[in-house]
Amino acid sequence: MNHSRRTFVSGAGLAVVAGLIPSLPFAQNLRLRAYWWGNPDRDKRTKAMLEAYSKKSGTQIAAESLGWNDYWTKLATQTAGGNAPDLIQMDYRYLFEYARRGTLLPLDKLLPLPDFSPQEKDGGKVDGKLYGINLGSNSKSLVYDTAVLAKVGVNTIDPNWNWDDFARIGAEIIKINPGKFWASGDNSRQETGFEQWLQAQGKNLYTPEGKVGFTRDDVAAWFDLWDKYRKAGLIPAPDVAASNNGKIEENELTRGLAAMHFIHSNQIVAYQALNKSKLAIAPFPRTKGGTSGHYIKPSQMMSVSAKTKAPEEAAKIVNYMVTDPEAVKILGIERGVPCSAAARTLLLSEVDALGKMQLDYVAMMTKLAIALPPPPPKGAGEVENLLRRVGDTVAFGKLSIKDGAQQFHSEVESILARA
Amino acid sequence: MASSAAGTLGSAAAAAATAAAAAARRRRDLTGYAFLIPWIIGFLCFTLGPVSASLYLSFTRFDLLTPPQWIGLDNYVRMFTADARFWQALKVTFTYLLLEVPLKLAFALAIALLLDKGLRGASLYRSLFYIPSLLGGSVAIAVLWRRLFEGNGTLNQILLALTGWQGPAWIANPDTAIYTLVLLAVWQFGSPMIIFLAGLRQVPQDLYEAAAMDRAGPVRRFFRITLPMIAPVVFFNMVLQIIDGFKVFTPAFVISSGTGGPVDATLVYTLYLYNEAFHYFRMGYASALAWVLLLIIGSFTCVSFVTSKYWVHYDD
Repeated sequence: MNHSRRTFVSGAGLAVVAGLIPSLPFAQNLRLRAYWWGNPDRDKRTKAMLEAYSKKSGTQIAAESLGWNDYWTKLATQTAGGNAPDLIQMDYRYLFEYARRGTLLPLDKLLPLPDFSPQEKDGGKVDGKLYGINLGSNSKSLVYDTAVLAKVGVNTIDPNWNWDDFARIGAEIIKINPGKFWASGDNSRQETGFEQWLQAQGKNLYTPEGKVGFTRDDVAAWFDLWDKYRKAGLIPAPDVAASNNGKIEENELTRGLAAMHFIHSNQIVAYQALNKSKLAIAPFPRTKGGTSGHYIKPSQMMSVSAKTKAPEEAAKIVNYMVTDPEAVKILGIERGVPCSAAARTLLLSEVDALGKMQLDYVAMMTKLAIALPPPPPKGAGEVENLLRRVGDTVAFGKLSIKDGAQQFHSEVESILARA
Repeated sequence: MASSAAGTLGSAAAAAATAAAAAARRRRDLTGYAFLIPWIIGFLCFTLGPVSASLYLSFTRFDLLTPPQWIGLDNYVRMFTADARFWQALKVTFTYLLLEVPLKLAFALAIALLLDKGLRGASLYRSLFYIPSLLGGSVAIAVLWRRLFEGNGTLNQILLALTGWQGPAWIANPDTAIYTLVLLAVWQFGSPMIIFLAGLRQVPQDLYEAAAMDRAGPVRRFFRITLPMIAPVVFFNMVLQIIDGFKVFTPAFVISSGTGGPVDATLVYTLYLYNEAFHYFRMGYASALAWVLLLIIGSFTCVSFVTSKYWVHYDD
């Protein structure tokens, strides 16, 4: 009995060891991990691009993508566990946090990128060192359903239009299907909208020192603007808006409830993929007497983990991604307009109407753009959700505009103080 | 002398026998423990270890990327004095519990009583009613719930067709969102129902026969016989449901896309804890929240046990 048990145990042990053996040779192959947030279209392109690279170089690349929110959760836990992916898609908002904690590799020497303009590299610099390679530029934009706007006699939107024009066009749109179809989604709860509106007046969300850059009155005026639109029936009731938590499929435009919404210009690709009617982009409406308020943002960046076993190879992949004609063609313009001039020229002959629209838009906005705002301080990620929450509270009438503005302002202050 | 020798011999033999028995028992126990080892290692490494680590972390500031900093009781002080969302999360959780536990238990008991009546095809119904409990905690069902209770969801389409009344967006309205979660929980009445059924089967039939002879009606029989007899089962189900209720997470997460919205109406405690930990990377604060939740659940279970002696009767 004992004997047979021992035989069994050692037999099982051998089986386990034997099971391990075949995997050993794999461990010697160079295998890197790439990680990005995205959408189905981006995932398809990125995977195809990585496969093309693997075929050429023999480097195996494990690819993984998640939605925006879950992405940062998983990245933080993996980084904390010393298990960060080698290639990390990075956002301007988080670049500083990750770089200053020494989790990213400085890329100045590995990636000289002579083809990039200094401005396009600056967006990825922290304390003078390059940590993020710009994968494409975008700017905020208003996306609209061309058929609906044509129906109310608007064929193109004047890039200098203002909020009064927006309200005028909106009033026509809501006559099409009263109570069922609105001019735009509720933007009072979107941090990007608020930021844009502040910048059009020469203000910012945050000061260069990482303090709150706006006043309570600014918040109140912002809530007030949207409250007027809500009362005028230009935007849907709060319970429609509250179903939109930032995903493209939850957006009022995608759900066929509104003719316009506020997005980043590169997202037009993903929005068009989910919308039947033809979409187009235009600048945000201006505040009367204000500037465009738009800036050119690195839509996404690629960073390399400080712990990667193969810094050169990782840098080579990034370089391939942003400069190699093969990769540029596969990735297209889904992450925004490429920074490499050669890549842009190449894409000009390659892109479809949607890509052309983006190229033209970013070219136009480059002329109108203001400087890149100061980097968001630590904790800024929370403010996005805070505005959604307080904006909804005001929209549902559970807080007055004045109290809502007060609450938002003081909570932002305490978030920044706590971070 | 002889007898005492025999006694000594006897007791020596007895002692030897006891020793042998003890050795055998030890060996048997050891075998038992040997089989338990994987589980014990798992418990020590993956449960006890993290739980004690979280107690330490609850006294620190820890953002995952930099080492934890000791800050004493600050997390706890903040929670009780400066965090409105903590109280909101408690309010939502208690509202949920107060509605969900009694409703679910009542519903489960009612269905169990029906099935106990020896309905034809009772076993089929029993399986059917149990299905929601199997599916209930899943993401797929929460997504389905979203579709049902949206502004233009199935429920409102039915209401519109039947009554011409356009219902609100149940899930996106802060006044009604929590009830959709309660309904989802009540719908998963299967597992308490099965336990109730088992309890009902154990009530001696002669009590009912005697009661019937004394002309006690069905209502009287239920309150005077059934309920007291199954009180231990009710108690067991209640404690389990309270603990489960405190731990509700998935439906609130899916229905609100992880935000606890609209306007924090579905911000159940665990969801708040999760967001603090994994969205805002306040691991220290989240650990403190977890310990407070542990104490709350512990004290509720204690109170249930202490008060149970006034209403739970054990036969044996």
